[in-house]
Amino acid sequence: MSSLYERIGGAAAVDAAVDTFYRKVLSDDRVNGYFDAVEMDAQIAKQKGFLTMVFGGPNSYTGQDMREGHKHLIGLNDSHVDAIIELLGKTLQELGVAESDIAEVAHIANSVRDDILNR
Amino acid sequence: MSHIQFENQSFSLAKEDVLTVLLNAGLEIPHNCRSGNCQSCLMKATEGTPPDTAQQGLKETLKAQSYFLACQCYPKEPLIIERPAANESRYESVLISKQWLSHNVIQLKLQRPSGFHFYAGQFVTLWKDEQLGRSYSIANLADSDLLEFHIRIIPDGRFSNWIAHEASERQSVQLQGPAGDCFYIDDNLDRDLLLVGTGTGLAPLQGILHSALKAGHRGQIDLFHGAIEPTGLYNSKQLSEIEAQHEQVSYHPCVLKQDAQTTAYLEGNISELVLQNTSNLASKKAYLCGDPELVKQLKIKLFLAGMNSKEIYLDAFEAST
Ligand SMILES: Cc1cc2nc3c(=O)[nH]c(=O)nc-3n(C[C@H](O)[C@H](O)[C@H](O)COP(=O)(O)OP(=O)(O)OC[C@H]3O[C@@H](n4cnc5c(N)ncnc54)[C@H](O)[C@@H]3O)c2cc1C
Ligand code: HEM
Ligand code: FES
Repeated sequence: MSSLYERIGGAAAVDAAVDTFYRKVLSDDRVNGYFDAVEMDAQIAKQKGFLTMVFGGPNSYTGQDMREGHKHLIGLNDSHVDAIIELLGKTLQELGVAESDIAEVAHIANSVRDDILNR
Repeated sequence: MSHIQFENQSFSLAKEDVLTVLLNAGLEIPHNCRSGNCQSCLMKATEGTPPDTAQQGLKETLKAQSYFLACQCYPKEPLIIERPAANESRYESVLISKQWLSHNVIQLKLQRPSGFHFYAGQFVTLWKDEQLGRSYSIANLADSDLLEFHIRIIPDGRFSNWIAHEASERQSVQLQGPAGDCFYIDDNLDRDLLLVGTGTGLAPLQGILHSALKAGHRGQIDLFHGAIEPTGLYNSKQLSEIEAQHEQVSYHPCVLKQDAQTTAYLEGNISELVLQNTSNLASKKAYLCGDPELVKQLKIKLFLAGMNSKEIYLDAFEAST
């Protein structure tokens, strides 16, 4: 059976999704305060890291990395994580990814919620 | 923690880049952008290997000789480094002509050194002497023996005033580069192009426009040139002629303000004018040149309006730091 990452389309899907996802993030007042738009290319590279991870692709992020990487984002709470997962779902819907795969992506994102929120 | 040796002194680096450490020690090291673009801080490692990230954008011949950009260099191993050899990293050129294009813009022509290859729209760093160098974008096509630049004279600007008031014909100028990815690629002759520049941001755009026309570009080419006042819209006569001769070219001169009587130009903030006067952004490629704040903000706006982030090229005229 193929993996989630393969079903979604691998690195090509990450490439295809990153613009749409980042555009949604920057346009959403619930979360855009946390994202720097000026260094766009650097941010897009980081968001590719995010997408690869939640698509179940090859990555070397640990829960500890997620904790360190989000610790400085002041005031981060469950509603922000929910918003990111929602925007992720909308992005994948637009790309025609199956609902069952989208649920699996959301599950991976959810699995690091406590690390992201440093609790 | 890593170590470097330079001119018989040793330095320890905690988290800083090599350029910062040398400048903090009071040494005079040429530099401008401190962000890996202008290549002014080029140095050479005589022992040890500089990290790949410090060699990004350098020519293969320079990489092979262990050249690296000091401002991007966070060494992973001890390095012994030296200043670049001028004959390996810079070209000798001479000033051929100077001509005022407007009250504060000079067209500068230099001789193209033999062996110097570039794409119109790329930039080079011009050096007055060992220390004073500034980046300028190339406005003409690669098939000429000359290199054309448009230089805006900045009040108290060291390099621009040297060019305007001191440098004369046959003056020797050193030239380093080329660098930058803001140039025309003929991968799709039918794609629509959006060219936006403020002030001398027109220089690279003029190069890109001529490259596209030479390649037989068929897609629509919209050129927006912004100035504060109509007097800043230099070269408008030539651009109007190009527009008249080429069906696919539209030239949109824009000013922040004009006399109530004249309505010859689009008036207002150039970013807004661009967004109001363009459509189908998702299928276009954009080149944005000139004022750094403006081009970065416009990039974000075009991206949010649906443009592909990989299809937006910038030539941001960052001032030296
Ligand atoms: C990649 C790149 C390409 C460039 N291409 C061009 C080009 O094609 N044509 C061109 O004219 N310039 C171009 N520039 C800008 C150019 O490199 C110099 O920064 C500019 O000419 C000023 O140099 P200077 O030595 O005259 O002024 P400096 O002595 O460096 O500056 C004097 C003072 O003026 C301020 N200053 C610098 N720039 C500006 C500005 N734009 N507006 C207001 N104040 C300023 C400085 O902060 C400083 O206080 C480019 C820059 C980069 C990084
Ligand atoms: C839903 C679970 C989440 C996961 C799995 C996740 C994962 C990641 C990953 C892998 C990176 C890239 C790190 C790098 O390579 O440098 C990253 C960066 C980032 N994330 Fe998250 N993230 C999550 C939620 C959030 C939320 C809710 C926010 C804020 C609203 C957020 C804001 C950021 C920011 C701002 C960066 C870039 C940080 C920087 O510029 O250094 N993330 N995230
Ligand atoms: S590349 Fe280092 S200062 Fe510009």
